Amino acid sequence: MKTTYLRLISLIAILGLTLSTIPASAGGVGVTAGLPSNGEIDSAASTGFATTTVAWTSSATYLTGATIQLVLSPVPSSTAITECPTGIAGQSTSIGGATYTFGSASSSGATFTLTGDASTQVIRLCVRVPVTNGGSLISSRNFSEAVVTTGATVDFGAAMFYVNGGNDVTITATVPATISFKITSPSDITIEQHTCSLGVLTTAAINSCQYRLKIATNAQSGFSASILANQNMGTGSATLTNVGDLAVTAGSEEYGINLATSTYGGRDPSTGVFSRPATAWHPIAQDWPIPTTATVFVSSTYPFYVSSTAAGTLATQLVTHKASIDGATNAGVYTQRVTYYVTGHF
Amino acid sequence: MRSFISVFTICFLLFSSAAQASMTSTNFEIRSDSINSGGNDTGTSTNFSLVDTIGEQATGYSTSTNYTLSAGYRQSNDFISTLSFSLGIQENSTQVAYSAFDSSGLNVTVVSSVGYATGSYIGVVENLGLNQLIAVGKIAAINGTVLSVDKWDGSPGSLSAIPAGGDDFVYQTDGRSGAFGQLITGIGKTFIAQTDVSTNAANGYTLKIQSDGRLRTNNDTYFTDVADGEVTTGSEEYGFRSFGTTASSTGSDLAVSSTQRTIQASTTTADNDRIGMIYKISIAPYTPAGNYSQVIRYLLTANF
Repeated sequence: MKTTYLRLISLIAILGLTLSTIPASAGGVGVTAGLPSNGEIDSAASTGFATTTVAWTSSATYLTGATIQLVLSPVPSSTAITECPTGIAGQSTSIGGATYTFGSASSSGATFTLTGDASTQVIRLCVRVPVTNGGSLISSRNFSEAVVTTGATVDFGAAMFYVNGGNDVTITATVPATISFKITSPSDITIEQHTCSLGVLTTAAINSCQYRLKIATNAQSGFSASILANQNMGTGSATLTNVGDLAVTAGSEEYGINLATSTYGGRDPSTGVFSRPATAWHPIAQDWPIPTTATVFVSSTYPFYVSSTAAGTLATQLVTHKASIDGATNAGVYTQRVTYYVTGHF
Repeated sequence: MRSFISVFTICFLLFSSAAQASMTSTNFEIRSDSINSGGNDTGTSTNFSLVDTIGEQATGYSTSTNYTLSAGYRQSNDFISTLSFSLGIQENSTQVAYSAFDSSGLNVTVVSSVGYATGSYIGVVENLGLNQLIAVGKIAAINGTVLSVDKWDGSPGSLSAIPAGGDDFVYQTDGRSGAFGQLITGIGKTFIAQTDVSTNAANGYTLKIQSDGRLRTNNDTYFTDVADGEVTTGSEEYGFRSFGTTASSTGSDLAVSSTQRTIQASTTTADNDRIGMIYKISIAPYTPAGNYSQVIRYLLTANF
């Protein structure tokens, strides 16, 4: 009976020892770079080191005596890596709550050795990696931090780190500035027109003439167009009275200009569609005298586009000159030269 | 009784020692030990170093469903996971015309190989423009004007053996910046990028790209991203297309956004897996003037 017990105890001991030598689990684990974000090292501390962390969930709880070897490849510098200070949330090593020692540090890695059992499978290693040369960040390059554990649980994996934009592409493109301006026929914006004849004026009607301002620019902040008359509408000795009541009226001596701004043409910054109207100097229903000092007449704060199609007409500015006379208006040929200046706001 | 104690003792000595990854005392640590007949850690020559071991017994790999046993003094080195990634962009200053392309022979004949060096990455572009064809590789040798690469990736099978000429070029692709330069209405602009991924991760890897925002000016005027699958001359569009056996998201031009997009992946180990990418842009007459920029990050994850 005693022999039987001894045999049984021995068998149990042998079985236990044998099982204890076999890794409880082994395999690849998903190792991720925690610090810096995305593993992108774009700066270093004044010491020349950057804090890096790799994290994973272990296959099983690590036990006393287990080691975690951290390997950097290729080495970013010939200087040895260092351990992060302890006790800083998210920026310190935490091996499932186990106590550990940090050793065998070199430029290519270090070894963490557990001096106590871990209580969780959440692992984070933190090391400071030298990434400067002469005070400046080293040139663009990438390196991996690989981990492999020994002991009852053998885990392995790796995460990438990118120094100084080693994983970045900077895209650049230049769009040159453009701006164009034409005064066109009111009915066909492909035909330029530089005269506007009011004809023979009578006391019974308002005479008018029209043209369009075709302004286009890719200036990000749009454009402004100013208007300037060389003189009041006149014969040299007599002038037509400028409109003063916002409306040229038949039977009264009045002369003025009306602007109907475009309803399209300005690029909506959110959609890229050219759906924004231009801005008129005054409400579009009103008639105003033409200034003899340069005055902003129409503007937009957006890039402005006028297509060459018929629909493009909607993106032009329609200008109407109006005149009326009364019985006392002096006879004569009245003239005036109106000049527009267009400025792009790039 | 005596025999069981003996068996117990033998097992204890055998397994308890084997269970230790390293042996330590107060002052010393033996991290790895071996009974063998030779080898050392310090073999060197001008260009190589050798660490070797000879005469071990019962070395090698043993596997089961859940475990892998790597027996042998240096087997532990094989546990080190490897992961590498490099990214290169077309360097416009290295543009050189080529007259012949050999897909199977891994050669491209250029007008001049001055400035090209073994080990550099190159990209071959036929019919430069929005519909260009590309192949990418790494120079393994240079013989006169013939550049030999280690392999071709991208879409080498689509390139002509003898290009028509005039718009067929080779570039080094070791750059960092993707400069489209000054854009002109009616002419699409391109540049190529090349990736290179290696890993011993048994389940492969995933490479993603992500931008820091849209292509934009410093006052946030945005360039229009391609949305119809193709960057077209005369339209304001910007995007990329990927080529290669490990490329994802192929077959159409895609936008680069702040949402991560997989561009390359494999479900097995990788030995210099590469893809070629064409970044494309075109403008319309109304595209707002300005200097546009964007940063695209490539993020590699290994699947161990």
